[in-house]
Amino acid sequence: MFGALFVKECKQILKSMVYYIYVAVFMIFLSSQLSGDLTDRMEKPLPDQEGYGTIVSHEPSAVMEKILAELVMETEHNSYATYPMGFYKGVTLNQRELDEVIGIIETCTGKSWEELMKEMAAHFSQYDRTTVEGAMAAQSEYSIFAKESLNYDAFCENMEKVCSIIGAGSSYSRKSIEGGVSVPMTYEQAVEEYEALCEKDRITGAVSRLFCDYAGIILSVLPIFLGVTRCLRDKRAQASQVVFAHKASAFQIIGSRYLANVFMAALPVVVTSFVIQTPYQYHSNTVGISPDLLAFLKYDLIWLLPEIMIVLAVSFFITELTENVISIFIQVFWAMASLMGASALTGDFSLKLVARWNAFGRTSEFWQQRQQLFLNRGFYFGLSLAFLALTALFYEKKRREGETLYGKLFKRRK
Amino acid sequence: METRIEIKDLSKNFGKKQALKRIDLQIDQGMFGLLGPNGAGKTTLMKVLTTLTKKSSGEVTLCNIPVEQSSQIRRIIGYLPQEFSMYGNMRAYEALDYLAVLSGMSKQERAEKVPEMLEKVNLGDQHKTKVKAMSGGMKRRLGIAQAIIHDPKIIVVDEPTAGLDPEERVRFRNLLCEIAKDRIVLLSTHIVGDIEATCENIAVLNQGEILFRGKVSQLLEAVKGKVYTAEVSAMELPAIQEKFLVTGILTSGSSATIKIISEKPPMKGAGPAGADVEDAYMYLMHQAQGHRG
Amino acid sequence: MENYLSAGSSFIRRQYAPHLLLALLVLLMSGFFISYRNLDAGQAAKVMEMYAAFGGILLLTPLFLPEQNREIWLLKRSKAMPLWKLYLLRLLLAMMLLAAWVTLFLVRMQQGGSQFAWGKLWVGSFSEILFLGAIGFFVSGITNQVVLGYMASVIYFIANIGAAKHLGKFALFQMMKGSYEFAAVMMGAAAVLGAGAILLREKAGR
Repeated sequence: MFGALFVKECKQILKSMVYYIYVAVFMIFLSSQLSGDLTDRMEKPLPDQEGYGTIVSHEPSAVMEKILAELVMETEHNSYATYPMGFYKGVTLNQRELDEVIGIIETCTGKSWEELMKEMAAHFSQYDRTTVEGAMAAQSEYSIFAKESLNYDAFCENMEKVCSIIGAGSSYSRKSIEGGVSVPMTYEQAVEEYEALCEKDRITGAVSRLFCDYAGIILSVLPIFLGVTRCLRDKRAQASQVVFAHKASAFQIIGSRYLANVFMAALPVVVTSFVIQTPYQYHSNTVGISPDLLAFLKYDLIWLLPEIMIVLAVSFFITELTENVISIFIQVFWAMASLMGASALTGDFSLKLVARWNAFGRTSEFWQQRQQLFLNRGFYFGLSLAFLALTALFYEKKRREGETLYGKLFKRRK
Repeated sequence: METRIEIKDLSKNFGKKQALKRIDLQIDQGMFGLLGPNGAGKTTLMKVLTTLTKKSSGEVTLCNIPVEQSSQIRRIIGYLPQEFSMYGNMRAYEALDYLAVLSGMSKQERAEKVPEMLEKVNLGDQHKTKVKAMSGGMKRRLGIAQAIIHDPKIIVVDEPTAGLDPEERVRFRNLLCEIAKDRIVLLSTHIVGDIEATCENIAVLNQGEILFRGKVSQLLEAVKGKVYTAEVSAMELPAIQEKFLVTGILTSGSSATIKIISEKPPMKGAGPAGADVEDAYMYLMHQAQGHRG
Repeated sequence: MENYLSAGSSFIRRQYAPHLLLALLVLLMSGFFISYRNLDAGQAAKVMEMYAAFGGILLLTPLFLPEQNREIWLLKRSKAMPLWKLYLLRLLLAMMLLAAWVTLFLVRMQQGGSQFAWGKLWVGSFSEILFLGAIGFFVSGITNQVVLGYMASVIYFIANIGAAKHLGKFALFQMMKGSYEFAAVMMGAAAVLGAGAILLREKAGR
C-alpha cells in the first residue's frame, strides 16, 4: 500500500502549481549564483603570485592584530555585530560606552584614537572601495598591532571588558577569539591547499560544496510551501473525513505524503547539482586529476537532504497541528535567523539549519570541520524523523477525536 | 463473522452538550434507516461507528469488534460522509483508485474493481471528469463507489440523498438497496420518503435519544386509526393548526382539505384516512415534544 | 455603514484573529532579535526593512481567505453588498493596522534613543512594507491560493537579499543604503496591485 500511495502522491505533486514554482525558483536561484566560471580558482599556485587568498590562523599575534582591527572598524561605525541567541543583533553604544571601548583600544595598542583613525584612513585610501572586491581586500588586509608589552592573556582580559559593554555574542567573546582569524596565505600554504583540493575534493567535491552552500540557503525556505500545501489540501478539498475512515494507518498516510514530498523536493536539487558540476568533471580530466564522479550525490544526500527533510517535517507537523498557514511564518523566520545569524560564511556549523561554506575549496579547513557538519546533519535527520512520528501520532489523534488543538482554541468561539 | 452492529448504553458529550444519550440499538443485515430532524445526533452516531469520534461511554461493537479497535473497524466499514468530496484536480478514476489504495487494495484488485464500480454507479462514461467539475449527484455516486469498492461488511451513509434531484434520488436509493443484499447499510436521513422507500428497519432519533426502533410497519401501527381527513375553510386553518397536529394541507379556493392526527375524531365531518410513514413520524415527534391537543 | 462595520468585525474574529495574534507575537518578541537602542538612520532603516517588513506579508496576504472556498464565494457574490467593497474594506483595515505597526516600531526605536528622521522613515517603511504585502495580496487574490501569495512575497524578499540591483525602484532595502526616493513608486505599485487583485478577482467570475 505504501508504494502505491507514494506514487500517487508524487503524481499529485506533479499537478500542483506550487511545485513548478519551487523548481523554477530553485533553478533560477542556483544558476544566477553559480553562473561564473570556477576553473580559474583551480589552477596550481605559482611562486610569484600577488596573493593566494586567506587561511585561518590561531597564532596569538595574528589573532590580536585582526581582532583589534575589527574592533577599531566596528567602533568607528559604532555598530557591533552580536549573536546573543544565535541570531544577528546589531548593537549601538551611547557616547559613554563608546568612550570606554575607545579607552580599551588605546590601552591595547598604546596609540591614541586620533592616531588610529589617521592610520585607518591611510590604509583604506590605498584601495578602490567602489568595487566589492576592493572593499573586501581593504578590510581583510587591515590589521592593527597591539603594543609590545601586551601579552595574549592581558589582551583576552581586555576583550572580556569589551564584551561586558557590548553584550553577549560579539566577535570579542572568548569563543569567537578561539575560533581563529583569517590571514593571507603564503605560497607554501597555497600549494598545500591546492594538493588537498586535488586529493581530497578531487575538484568536483569543492564544486559540490559551493553548490550546497547556495542551495542550502533557498532550501531552508522553499520546501515549507510544499509541506503546507500538501497538509492543507485535505481541508481545502473537504476530503479529510473520507480519508480518515479508510483502512490505511496514519503512518502510511503521513509517511507516504512526507516521503513523496521529500523525494520530489530533492529531485530538482540532484539534477541541478549534476548539471552544474558536469563541466568540472571534464575540466579536471583535462588537467589530469581524476574527479570524484559521485561527489555531487554525496554532498546532496548528506548536506541538503537532511535540510529538506527537517523543513518539510516541521511544516507537516505545524500545519497538521494548526490547519493553518502559520508554519510559513515560523519557518521563514527560522531560516532567516539561521542565515543572518551565521557569524562566519564558512563553517561554524554547530546546529544551524543552513550550513554555509561560501568559498571555493579551503579543503583542509573543511575536512577539519567535517565531523561537526556530520553531527549537525545527523541531528536534523533524526529530528525530522521525530517530527514525522509526532505528526503521524497527532494525525491519528485527530482522526479518532475529530478535533485539533487549533480548532479548540479558535473555531468554537463564535 | 456475524454481520451486526451492537450499541449498548452509548453516550457522547461535547463539553456540556450531550449529543447522544444512552443509546441502545442493534442493527442486523440489510438496510437500516436512521431518521431524525437536523441536529438529532445522527451524524455523531455515525461518526462514532466509523471511528471518527470517540464515544464518551457505553459499548459499541461492529461484527463483534469493539469500536476502540479503530484499525480493525476501518477494514470492515465503508463511509460516505454528509459532505463527500475529493481533491478537485483528480479525475473520477484517479480519485476512486486513490481511495481504493487507502483501503489497502492491491494493484490487480484495483484494476479490476475501479472500472466495475464506476460502471455500477453510472460514472463509467465520465471516468475522466475532474472532481471539481462534478455535479452534486455525480460526487455522491463517486462517494458511494468509494464506500463499497473494498467490499465492506458495513456501509454507513450520512444523508446520501440531500441535494439530489428526484430522479437521481430514486436511482441512488435503488443502488443502496441492491448493495444491502449481503451486508448492513446504515442510512441516515431527515427525509421520510427515503426511509419509506428503502428500509424495513428503522430508528428515530431526536435530541440524542431514540424515540422509536423497529419495523416501518410497527411505526405505522402507532398511528393507525388516528389519522383523519377533513374539509375546512381556509379561514379556520390557523386555529386548527393551533389545536391539532396537521400533517397535510391542500388548499383549493377558500376551502382546504387537511390531514389531522388525533386520538379521537377531531371535528364533525372528519373521516378516517390512510396513514403513511410521514404521518407516523410527525406523530412521534409531536409526542416527544409533549402534547398540544 | 453599520453593515460594513459588522462585516469587518466578523472577518477579524473568524479569519484574521490568528494572523493578528502572530503579528503581536512578532512585535513582542522583537526585543530578543533586534536592538532598538541608539540606532542611527541606517540601522533604524534596517530594523524596518529586515524585520518589520514581515508585518506586510502577515497582514495583507490572508485577506481573501474567507472566500477561498468556492461555495462561500458564490454565496457571498449573491448578496447585496458587492464583494469588491468587502475586499476594499479589508484592505483598508489591514492598511490601518500596518500604519499602527510601523508607528509602534518607530516609537520603540525613539524610546531607545535612536536618531532618525521620523517622517521620511515612516513614509518609506510604510510604502515598502505595504508593497511587499501587496504582492502577496495580489497573488493570493488572482490564484485563490493563500499559500501562493505567501510564497510570492517571501521569495520576493529573499530575491532582494541577493539580486536587489536588478530591481531598480522596486528593490527592497533601499533605506538601509540611504535612499528614500522609492516611496512614491512603491506606493503606486501597491495601489496597482491592490486594485488589480480586486478587479481581476471580480472579473474572473469563475
